[in-house]
Amino acid sequence: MIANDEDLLRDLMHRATGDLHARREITAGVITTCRRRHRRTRALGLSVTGAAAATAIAAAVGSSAPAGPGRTSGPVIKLTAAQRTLTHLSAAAAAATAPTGRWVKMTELAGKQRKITIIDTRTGDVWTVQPGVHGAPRELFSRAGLPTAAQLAAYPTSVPALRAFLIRQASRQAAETLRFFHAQAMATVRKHPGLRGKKLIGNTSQPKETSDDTVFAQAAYTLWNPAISPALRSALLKVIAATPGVVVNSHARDGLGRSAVEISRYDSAASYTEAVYETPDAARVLETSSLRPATPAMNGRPAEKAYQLSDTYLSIVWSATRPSA
Amino acid sequence: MDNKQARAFESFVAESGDLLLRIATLLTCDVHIAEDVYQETLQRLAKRWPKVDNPRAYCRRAMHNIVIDQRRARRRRPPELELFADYDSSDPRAGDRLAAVELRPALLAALAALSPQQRAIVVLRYFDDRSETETADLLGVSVGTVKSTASRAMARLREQPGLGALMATSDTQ
Repeated sequence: MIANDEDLLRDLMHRATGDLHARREITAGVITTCRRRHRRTRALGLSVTGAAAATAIAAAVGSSAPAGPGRTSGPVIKLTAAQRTLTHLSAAAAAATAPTGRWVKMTELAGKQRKITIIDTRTGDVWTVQPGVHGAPRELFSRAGLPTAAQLAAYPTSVPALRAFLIRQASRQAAETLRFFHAQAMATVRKHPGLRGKKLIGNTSQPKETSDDTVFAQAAYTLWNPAISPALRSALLKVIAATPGVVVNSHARDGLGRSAVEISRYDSAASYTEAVYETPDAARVLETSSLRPATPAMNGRPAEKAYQLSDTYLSIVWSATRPSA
Repeated sequence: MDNKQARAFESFVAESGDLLLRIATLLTCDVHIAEDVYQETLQRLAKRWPKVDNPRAYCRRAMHNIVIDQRRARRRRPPELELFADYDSSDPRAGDRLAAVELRPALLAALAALSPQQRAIVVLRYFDDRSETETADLLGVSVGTVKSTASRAMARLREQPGLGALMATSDTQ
């Protein structure tokens, strides 16, 4: 009997995952962690810090700038304070020394996981080494995963041009991601020429972001790249300063307790706050994080706790030859 | 968590852990990320263990939320492939019995073409054998949304040549 597609899919999913077994040490680790008392989660701590910082900025500036007729309160005042700090950071970034060398080795903490990223700035290739299943090192590779040094040098540095460029870059990246999945599917059926030419994947559904959401996200993601020049870093900070909704906390600390300037923005379409922690001299990024705030129970959905995913950069080393992982 | 609660927690994980990891794999399309999601899910469950009435339902909902969160947060990283993984070597029609490791890349690549919600509904409905009502309750959507999303997801999966070849192979066995 020929089964229907749902039955075939069910069978495939069971067969394709039948060899996977959960590690028992994960359970033991979870119980141990749960038993530790007075452990504060960073996600909750950060949400409180962010709220306090926003309140403090609004209060400090609000006391010297009373709201008048036809003038909105809160957000405008907050943005002005943020703009002042970002303009200062932008000037500091422009005066920084440009890095030299072809290769970058970054040591990072992704959550609690330590990993090493090696970037070839000439080709844009990226290697990542991180702990894999059963602790064995797992090496990942992304060919031309990041812009090359030459491509970064061609980025515009005027605010309107860079803003437009970042919007175009976002749509280009979405298309590239789609092509990546196409390539994987095509590799699987390379030996079946009859299937070539068929439509592989339809349009993926993307969150409906505003252009300001896109610009901030792209600027924040580009700041992460250590290969950007001081001029581009300066321009990106100016673009961020011109984006509504940005909150700046100039007395923040990253996950390791290092002094930092926190630049964040809440993306209402995705219900997320993206944050970048810059060094006070705007020389480099210390940490990037995404925080989803806690949400109350509504419309039958239970309440959700805050959730944070962060990458903390421990060290960034430049070299002329390929470093070892 | 006291000793009695810890034993109950361990018992639940011993019974359901493998299934949860497999669901996480299908939701994330990556074995390694799935293990992270699995661990995060257990941590969330452990924190609320005394208050959770239905741990299985809680884990499914938590995994879906974590996958959505990670997809958003990982946007800044370029897509990465397992280095030295030989995706080309998996010929879906080779051999009488296909090993899981051979099937997995093609299946996960096809599932990756779906949106996270489509993937969650497909996995809950057809892998976890949840009814439309249960799936709707778990994901906090209407039954109509489950039906229409599942239908669209199946239509998209049928367009995947990798999965099409696997299904054809599966059907002839």
